[in-house]
Amino acid sequence: MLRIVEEAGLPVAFEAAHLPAKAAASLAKSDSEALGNALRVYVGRAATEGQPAIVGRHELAGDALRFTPSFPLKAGLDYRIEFNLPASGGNNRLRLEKVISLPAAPRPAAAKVTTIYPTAATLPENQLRFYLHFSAPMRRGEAYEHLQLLGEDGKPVHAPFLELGEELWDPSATRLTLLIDPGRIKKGLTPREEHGPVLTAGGIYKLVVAKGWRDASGQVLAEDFTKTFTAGPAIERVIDQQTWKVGPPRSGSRSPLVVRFPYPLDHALLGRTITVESAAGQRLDGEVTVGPEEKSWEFRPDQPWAAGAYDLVIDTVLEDQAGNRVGRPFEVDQFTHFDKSSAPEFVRLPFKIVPGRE
Amino acid sequence: MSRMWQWSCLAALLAAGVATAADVPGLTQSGKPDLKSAGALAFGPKGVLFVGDTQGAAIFAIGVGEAPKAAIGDGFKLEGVDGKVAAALGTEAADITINDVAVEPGTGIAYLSVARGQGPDSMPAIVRVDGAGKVSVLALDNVPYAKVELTSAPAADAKDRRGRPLRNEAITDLAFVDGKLYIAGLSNEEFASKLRSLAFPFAGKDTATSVEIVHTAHGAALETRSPVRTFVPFNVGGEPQLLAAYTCTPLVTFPVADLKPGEKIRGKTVAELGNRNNPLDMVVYEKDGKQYLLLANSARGVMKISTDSLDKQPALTEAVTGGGTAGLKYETVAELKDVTQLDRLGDKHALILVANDSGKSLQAVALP
Repeated sequence: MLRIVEEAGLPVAFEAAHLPAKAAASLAKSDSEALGNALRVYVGRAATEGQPAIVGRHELAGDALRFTPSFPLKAGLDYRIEFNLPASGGNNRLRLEKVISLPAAPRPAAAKVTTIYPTAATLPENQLRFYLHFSAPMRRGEAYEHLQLLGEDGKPVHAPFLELGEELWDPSATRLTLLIDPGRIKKGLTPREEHGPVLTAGGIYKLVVAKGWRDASGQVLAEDFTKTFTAGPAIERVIDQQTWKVGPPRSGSRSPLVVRFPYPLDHALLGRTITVESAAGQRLDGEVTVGPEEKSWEFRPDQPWAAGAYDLVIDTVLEDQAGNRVGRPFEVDQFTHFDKSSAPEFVRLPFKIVPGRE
Repeated sequence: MSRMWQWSCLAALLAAGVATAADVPGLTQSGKPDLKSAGALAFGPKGVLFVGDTQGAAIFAIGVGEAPKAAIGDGFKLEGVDGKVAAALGTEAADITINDVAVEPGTGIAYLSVARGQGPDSMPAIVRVDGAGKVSVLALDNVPYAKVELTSAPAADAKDRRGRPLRNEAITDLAFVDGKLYIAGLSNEEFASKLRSLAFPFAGKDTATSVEIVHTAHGAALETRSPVRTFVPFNVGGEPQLLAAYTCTPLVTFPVADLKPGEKIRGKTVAELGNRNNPLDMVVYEKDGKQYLLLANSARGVMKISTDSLDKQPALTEAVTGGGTAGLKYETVAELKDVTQLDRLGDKHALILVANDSGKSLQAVALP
């Protein structure tokens, strides 16, 4: 008999079980090729021309030949099992077929857009990227069909995004990085000369995430998600940490250290490019929160603050919304700047924790 | 017949003796490589396939063993290649993604890097296709291999407050030139511009060194970091060069000799391809004594560009207006549509992956 084998409630293998003694004895003398020929499993109720059998390994245990696929079986699909042992040495040919339909998996809640960063209502006209956050993992390969930037007249802006075959997802497939075509931002390149910049200061735009985009479970976004924003003046200066306002709490508490910026910085990079070090060079553990409109950064230490001198240590890969870095703008005048090194660099911003009231 | 193939092939491999770690120089480990994903592919020394693992932030060199005999040749066309690959992996076409296609030099066998499944639980696979259209999954349980981890961001802590890493560097292209593997990557956070080079055999863990590539805009005295999307090695006047396409459209060249660790280099812009012209893949070939570049891109089909005068080509210094490209001459190859992957198949053909409304097909076409 042909059957499916389950482990911990999940289908993991196929088996031709309770084989006649002669058949089992014949298989016991067979090589791996013959075992593979004897039991094959195909996707679907009927294999199409040239359709390969599922790849996996075969094992004979007593009167059962088991096939374990190399990749997990997929809920909701039909699998056809074929057992075929040619006649030999007095054995009759033995041929069995069976289709097994795996029940569909319970569907998780369909994904939806939770947030689009930056969150501010006004973005610089040289805005470089957006982060689209979803409530559940998404399917790769169909992002750009579902993304549009609409101008004030409601018409789509021509080719606004850098469309990458790789689609820049985070490892959990719940955050997509969407870049505005840098060829439309950088001065002196054909795309910008021909079509102008994507965003122009004073314009009102809508970034539309269209419904129909499939998530990893195959369900679709049920409704459009729109972020409306106004384009403001370009930001063409470096991030200057000296303009940040550091609000240190007093010692003895676990109150957050709050750092305020004069304008928004990149949400993702804020999450990982700033750390706190004690005077002894020890990095403090704690929780980082990015504040409203990405204009502030908070750090709540795991241990209460001790009085003393500290440094904010800032990785210079930190960027603002337009790709300007700490100490280096997005577009550098090559005759006034010359930096040869591409080594990672950090800048420090000292602050003090003063003793709290007893 | 096709059903027989997989096992007969395996049997042939077993009979021939699967390559072992000692057989292929540089493949120092044997067993199951812990690939988290399979993306960009490139062949290196004989029998060595480099696989870019974006999810695992690593490069693997895998011994592929003896190739099937039936080489892909003129007129080859495999319709529904995604469905066949999916069937071998126990699922349906909608559940797989073909990330890259590479042809093993000298054998005419195609290798496809595949993601099986969607979302964070997807699994990597390397699939072979031979000239008879037979699809088989490369068994990775016990192969000779080597691995090198790529240094990620210099940031001290690459995890968010829930402890989840969010940063990812997509490995967008690989090429092997003169004993070195070149790796283009694109971060999903900072606008980085690192091109890594790595000697093979790998000299130990984490030996990837990187150069920073910048792009100088025409007319303006401005330069910007500029990620390289795809590139191809070729020779100009006997000097090995990389011809690279930036994400912001210019095609640039730089001598391989200039790619020194920690240096910053400016590519020489030799062509600008125009708006929405995102290069997907490219190959270099010779025909009638002249060298050409064949470039598949997202909006303009496949371009054939003569690189014959590349060494004499002056760097572009003015922005190109009113219609598209400048610098090197190019023509669009009208017969080739919807090409998403491209690799050389011998001296006279290319193997292309075509994706359109009627599905995906793998085809051999004569180099134009």
